[in-house]
Amino acid sequence: MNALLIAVPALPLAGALFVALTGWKLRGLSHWPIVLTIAASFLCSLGVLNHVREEVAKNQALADSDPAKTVGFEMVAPIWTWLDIPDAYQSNQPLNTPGGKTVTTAPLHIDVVLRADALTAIMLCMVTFISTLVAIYAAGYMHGDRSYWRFFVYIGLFVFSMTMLVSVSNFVLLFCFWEAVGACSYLLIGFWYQKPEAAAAGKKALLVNRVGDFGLALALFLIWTNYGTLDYHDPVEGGQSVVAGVLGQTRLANPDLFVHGGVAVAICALLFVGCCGKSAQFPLHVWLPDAMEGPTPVSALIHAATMVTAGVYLVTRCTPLFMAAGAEPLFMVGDSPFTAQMLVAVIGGFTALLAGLIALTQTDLKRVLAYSTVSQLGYMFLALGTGSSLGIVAGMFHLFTHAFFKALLFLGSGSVMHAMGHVIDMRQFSGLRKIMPITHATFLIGCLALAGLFPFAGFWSKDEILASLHERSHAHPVATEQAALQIDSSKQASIDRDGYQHVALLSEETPHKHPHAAHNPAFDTTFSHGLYGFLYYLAVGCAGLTAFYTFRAFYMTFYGELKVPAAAGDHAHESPASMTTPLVVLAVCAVFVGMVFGFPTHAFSDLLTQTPSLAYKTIADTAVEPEFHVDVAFWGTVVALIGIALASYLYLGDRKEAAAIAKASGPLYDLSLGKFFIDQLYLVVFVFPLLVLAYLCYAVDRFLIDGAVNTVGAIPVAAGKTMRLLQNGMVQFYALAMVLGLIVLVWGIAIYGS
Amino acid sequence: MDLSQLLLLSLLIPLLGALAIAVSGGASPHLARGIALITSLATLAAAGWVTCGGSHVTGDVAVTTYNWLGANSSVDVKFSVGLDGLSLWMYGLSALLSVTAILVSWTAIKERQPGFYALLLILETGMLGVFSARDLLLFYIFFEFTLIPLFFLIGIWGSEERKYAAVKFFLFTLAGSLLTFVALLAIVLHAASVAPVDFNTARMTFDIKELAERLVRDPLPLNWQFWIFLGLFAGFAIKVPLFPLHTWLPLAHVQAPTAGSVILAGILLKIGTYGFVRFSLPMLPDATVACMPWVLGLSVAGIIYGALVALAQSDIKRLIAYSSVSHLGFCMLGIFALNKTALTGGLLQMINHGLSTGGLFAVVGMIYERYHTRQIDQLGGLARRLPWLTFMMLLFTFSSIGLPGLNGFVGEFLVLTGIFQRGWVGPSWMQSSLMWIAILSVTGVVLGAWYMLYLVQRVFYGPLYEPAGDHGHGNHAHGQADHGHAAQGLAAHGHDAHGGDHGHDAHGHHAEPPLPPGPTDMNCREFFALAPLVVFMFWIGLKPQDFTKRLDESWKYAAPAAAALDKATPPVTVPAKIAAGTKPQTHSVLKQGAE
Amino acid sequence: MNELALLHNSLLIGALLFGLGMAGFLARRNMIIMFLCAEMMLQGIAVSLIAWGRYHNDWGGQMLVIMILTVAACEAGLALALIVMLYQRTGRLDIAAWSEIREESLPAYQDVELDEFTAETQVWPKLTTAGVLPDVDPSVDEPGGHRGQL
Repeated sequence: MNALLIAVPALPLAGALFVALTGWKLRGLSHWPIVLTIAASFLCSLGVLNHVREEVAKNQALADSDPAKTVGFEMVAPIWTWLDIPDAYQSNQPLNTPGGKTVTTAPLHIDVVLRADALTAIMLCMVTFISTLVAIYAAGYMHGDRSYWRFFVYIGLFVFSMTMLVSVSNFVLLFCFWEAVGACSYLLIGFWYQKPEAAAAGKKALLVNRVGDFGLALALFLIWTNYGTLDYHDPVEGGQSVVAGVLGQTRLANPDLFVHGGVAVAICALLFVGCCGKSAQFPLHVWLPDAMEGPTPVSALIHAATMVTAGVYLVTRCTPLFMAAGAEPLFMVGDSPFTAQMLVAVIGGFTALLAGLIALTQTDLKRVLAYSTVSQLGYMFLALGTGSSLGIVAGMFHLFTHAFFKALLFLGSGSVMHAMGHVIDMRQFSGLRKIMPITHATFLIGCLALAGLFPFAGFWSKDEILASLHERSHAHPVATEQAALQIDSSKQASIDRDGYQHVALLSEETPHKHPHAAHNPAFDTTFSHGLYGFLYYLAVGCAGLTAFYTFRAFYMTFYGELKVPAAAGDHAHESPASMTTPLVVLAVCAVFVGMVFGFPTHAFSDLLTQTPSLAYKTIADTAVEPEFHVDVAFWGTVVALIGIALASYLYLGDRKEAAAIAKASGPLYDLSLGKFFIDQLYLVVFVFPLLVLAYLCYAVDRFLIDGAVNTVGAIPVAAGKTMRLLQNGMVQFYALAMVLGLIVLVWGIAIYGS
Repeated sequence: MDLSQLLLLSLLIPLLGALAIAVSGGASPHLARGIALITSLATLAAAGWVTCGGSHVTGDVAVTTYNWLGANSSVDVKFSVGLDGLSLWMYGLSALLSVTAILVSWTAIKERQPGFYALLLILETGMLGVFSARDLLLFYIFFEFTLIPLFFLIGIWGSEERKYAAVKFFLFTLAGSLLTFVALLAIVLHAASVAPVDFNTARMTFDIKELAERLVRDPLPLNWQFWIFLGLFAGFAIKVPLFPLHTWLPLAHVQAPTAGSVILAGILLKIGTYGFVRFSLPMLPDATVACMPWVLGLSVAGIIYGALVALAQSDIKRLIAYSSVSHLGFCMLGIFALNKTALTGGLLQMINHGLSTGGLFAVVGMIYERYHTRQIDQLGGLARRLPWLTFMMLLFTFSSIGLPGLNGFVGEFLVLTGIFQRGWVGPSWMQSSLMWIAILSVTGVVLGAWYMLYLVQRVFYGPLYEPAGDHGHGNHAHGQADHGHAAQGLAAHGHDAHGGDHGHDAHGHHAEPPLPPGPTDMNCREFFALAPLVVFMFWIGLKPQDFTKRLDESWKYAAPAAAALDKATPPVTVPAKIAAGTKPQTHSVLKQGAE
Repeated sequence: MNELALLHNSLLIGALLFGLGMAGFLARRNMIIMFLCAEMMLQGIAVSLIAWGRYHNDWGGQMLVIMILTVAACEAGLALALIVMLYQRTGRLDIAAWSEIREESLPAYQDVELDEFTAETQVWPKLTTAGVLPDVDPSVDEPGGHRGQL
């Protein structure tokens, strides 16, 4: 089984290396090795998924008979030792080992270990499946490009990095591949490097991601200094690591072993900063729309379906850390704590709204979709931020379905772009349904899925998200109560001078130990209910926005009178089969994945909740019996239908009303069109001041520091220039100088000597 | 032939090569470079063998000792060479980069070739010697010995302001290293005064190991340590160069010939950091601890300052020179964090910087050879013209900005992790300051990505833009060096705002115009100059364990200082609860307990 | 005269000789005179040495003086030979003729040329006999007469 797991990333890497070495010879055939290896990788992923599914079933069968069963299921495949520094961690802070003992020294031991659980297996299947289709599509789309083979090398490298990202079992290696996918993204955005916009967009993407990685790196340092290890899993047999893994079975079996308190909140907040960068959440979302300068298959694969969801993956993966942070406040709102999970939810919700508003007025088809991606990613974070089993499953499920229909929409827009001679401005073409029937049909399915209409994929996942928010705004989840106890205990502990907190004891302790527990602000759920209630309505509103801008783009592209830009030339026809086949496959998926894996079967949630990170007690206790919320589904659908209806009214006809409304809304319209001027704001607030500072530093360097150095150098020169005046060549002057010197010397000795 | 003989041979071969060049002098200008290449390859073979052989064991390897004053002299000064974990990789890297330096000079140096290559070979002996010396006097001799050849390399074969640059470089570093010499002698004299009364050991010793042992046993008084530390600091910090003693560096780099820049950035700067680990940490632990906050502060200032100034540059070489200031700050951070992880990272970063910045300077040299300019605004879109060179540049850039999978990441990660942890377990004052230092250094990483990507974007991406006129000799596609051609700084491709000009000419439109004649891409020689660096970059990035396992033992040099730091600041007290069997919690509250 | 007084007097003479020699060495430009002055300084030292030697009942002082005399004799030979050589080069015994080792940018020392005075060209005032009206001095009427020059 381990070999199968290793094969998943190894195959695309092998393909990429093969094409890198032989591409100059293969040329137009370069896509074959990549398509084949990624497809093989997909089959291996299916094998892994199947194995995980079987083991999970076995595990569940044991559930009642064996109380010491492991939490969830994970398989671990070590490959090689990346780094080992013995006794690197030395402190008096005790570190937990799986045996229940503690140690105070630990090696910095990092193995390249692949680890598969349900979450990883699902991500692997999704990534390799979409990648296969995109690679096939790209074979048609990129046909004839001068650097055809280079493109496929990058794609192979990306698939390798992405599969590694979701399957490594160590935070350092996660960070490695986190940046590696960023580098692939940089290379692919800048693939047409001769376009200045593409080069600039690539740079911007990497830089903004670097800002996010800044947070992620700090989170890593905090994890290392507090856990003494960076592994997810517990030490394996024969390994040199001794400390219980951060997300390993030892801690999951006994959640008290997680770090709690302020540090836990800091870890979560910093992890989320990293996620904001990679998953394009406000305020680091600015790179994603620019990234559309890259080739469209890249936009579909990296900037819609896979890489940008890495943040969602990471938050899901680190659920235990977020749960450990519990109700510990990031800051206080009045008397109520604002927790790390609320941060995730609020940023997600705000991003969803912001991006949705911007998408309303964009005229570039790909940018509409890009902002839609940002908005949908915000939706996912919104769900993850509920901190309940329901919400996390919903977020991941939306990630899953979104990958299909968003990839479909991007590939569809690529098909349009291909036909229109690389014109992507929707004002320059219209009525394309007549000449591009397949693209039109599949695009429509994508739009319906994105808008979240029954029974398309988006409906099920969106419904789950709304339901989880709805649930969170009313219910009184167990987690909150526990967390409330924890916050109380941490207050208690901070009074203790011994520096230790006794969370473990609290589960037995009854409120009589904490007489003030009844009016402890953490028990006052008004704030959290209010917040999540607000976010619920916001999410419903965003569903309407989504439906509107999706269909606006759809109508502008495919309806109205047939108009084709001059750049298209004689090229304006349906795309070749290599491009339409993936569209059709994805369209089928966009229709069915929701129904097959979603609420009707629970296949997705049943499997996902067996991920160790999501199966342990604290989070599993928040799970509620799945039920279909008719009212939530109803309101979600109604709002979406209103959005579609509005779009049909405004954009199906001659679009006069649309222009009128744009004119009437004046500055609001400009705000949306100008993307809320966030780019410009950053330019003024960060970029220019830093550049000014840079030039200032350079001036300081040239004149002040180097000036000081030169001054020091000038002192001997000046002294020499003065002294040389004494060398006048007159013997008697020299003699006089000698005599005077002698006098001074004798005088000095007489006065000061002994 | 055992390792110690090979080590001696590796020191001797370059000198013999230089002699051979001197003898064959004016026979043919190209003979010199041939001899130099063969000599440096032979040296690499010997040194590589020693490095490989030494990488599997621990402790000192390849030791050779000859007494200069006879075995019974009361002054123990020897010709003693050998390698340990600290010096092994730098020794190997010196031999490697020397070959690169000779290969990149192959066609770039047209005048006085024999002198150039002879000096380069002499410099190689100096570099190999400084890392293999086990005797203090021998170390200092080699330390200064590296200065003279480079002075001439910059002063004779440099660019326009070469003389000013050479003199400034020479005086600046010499001024510091003379103070270092005084400090080293003070160490020797003090150690002589605390020598054990034993007729078998000489009272006054120059043996570095023996000195360290004596000074650990009998530490210097703090005020002595402090002044000696300042003396060492003067020489080594200028060599590193630590902010604000760095101003000689950009000038020297910009004016030096490519080979000089490669060697200077790759090896010579590391002598400073090496000296700190070799002398200051083990011999002056208390002064090191006392000055640690200042050195760390200057390092982090250098990291950010260097990155910011690099952002303001218009000259490629100067930009990379300032990036060196920034990167060497990480080495210093790692060394002075007095933490095992950080030290390993700092030492690894020394190798990493040698590989990546050495490579960057080599690439810039290749561009300069083709276009005779280093100005960022005179170049653009070179990826179209020089795809392989661009590929190499991207690799070195990625390595330089610390992208995982390549070497730079490992060093930076270890340094920052180590320093963060050092702060975390330390007392509260150190906790806050070291954590801020770590956080600020991470901003340096972000800025580093900014200026390097800016460089790549401006010079290699975008529409092709080349300076007008003569593009040098021997690099033309059609050998038309003499008459200017059509590539007069024009955008080679017209392209519209919607990005029409990328590929897709299968359907007959958007056909790319053919490239105007101009310089050709990398040739075989240039590829082999850079390829070894790339191989090691990947090796360190993918399996750093092979390298760090030998660096581990260097911790013994920092251990006295780390012990002094722990002594100076009482460690966190462990609550009795753990001993009593209470379930231990790893907790943030620990922090509060420490206060 | 006691020993201490004798020492005082001898040292005084030695100091006077040394001082005179030094003053002469600094003030005179003739190389031979300068040499003689240097010798005089040497003799001043010699006198002091003998004085101290006697005071301490020690032969060392006299021994040193004899050595000084010997060395001075050699030195005189060499010095005079050099002076002869220098004289042959320039025809002058003036030390100021030799100032080649000055810094390049500094001006060479130059003697201010004074008017030569000879007895023949001097016009001396004639004093008339007491009680007789003096003659009119013919040079008074001539503008630029010798009075102006003096």
